[in-house]
Amino acid sequence: MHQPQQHHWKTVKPLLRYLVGSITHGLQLTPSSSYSIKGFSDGDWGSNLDGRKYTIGYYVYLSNNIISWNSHKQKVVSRSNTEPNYRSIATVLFEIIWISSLLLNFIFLLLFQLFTQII
Amino acid sequence: MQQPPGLVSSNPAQVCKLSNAIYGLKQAPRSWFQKLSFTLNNMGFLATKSNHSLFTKYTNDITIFILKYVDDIIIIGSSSAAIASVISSLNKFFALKDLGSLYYFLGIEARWTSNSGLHLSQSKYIKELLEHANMHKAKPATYSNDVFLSPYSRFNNSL
Repeated sequence: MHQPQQHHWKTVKPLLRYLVGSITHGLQLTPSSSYSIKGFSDGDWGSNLDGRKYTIGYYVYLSNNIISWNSHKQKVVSRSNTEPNYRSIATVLFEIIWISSLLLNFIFLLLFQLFTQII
Repeated sequence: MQQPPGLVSSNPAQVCKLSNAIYGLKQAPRSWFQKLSFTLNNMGFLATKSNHSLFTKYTNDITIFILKYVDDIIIIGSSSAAIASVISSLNKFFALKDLGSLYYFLGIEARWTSNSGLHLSQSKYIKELLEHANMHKAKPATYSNDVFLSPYSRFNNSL
């Protein structure tokens, strides 16, 4: 930001004070032998009445650990509340597909490398 | 490739004059990645298809994962002797600094907990940010809706 002014500071200040209160917060990861993937998503359109652009967010759990999350205001304008909700499901699904392909990758690489060692 | 006209050098192997530092070149990230992945491949690591920054190696009893972010690297393995040997063989090709057990990566602190879990936080990053903004002694605020009020609702409230 080139020229921050008083009203910008006013908007940022509560965010910084929120950080003061949450400075010790964190994510706790615990070992687990389960590979169940769960995704949650939501879309928000109603709180952006002047821009009509929607925000979508999601998070993904692997077993009981959160491993991926995102919240992003979109660049496109929506004309229906169905769109943000539908898009949020699609976006979390993309993430889940990527995570499962990564997990599958580990299995294939394991098999491949063990196989080449036996030969 | 040949020497361009105007370049005076007695050594025919010298083709171009390098006037930029390697670090600043556009091609630098790519050639660094190629060099690192070539070295890791020779050491028996395979890059995963879904994430090219993640290299894995499986042997009969040992599994090692290497995750890199530019020149920051995390090495995870099922045996600390195997990890040490990976570090020492990498050290033959690159001048590296072993920072020991994982505690800080990309602004995220990692702390091992008693139940062999991992606690991730950004306390250090937040602390530096608050000190920079001179807000480290401010009163804490809990989550409040008006932080995220849109200009539209501000306008409505003032009516």
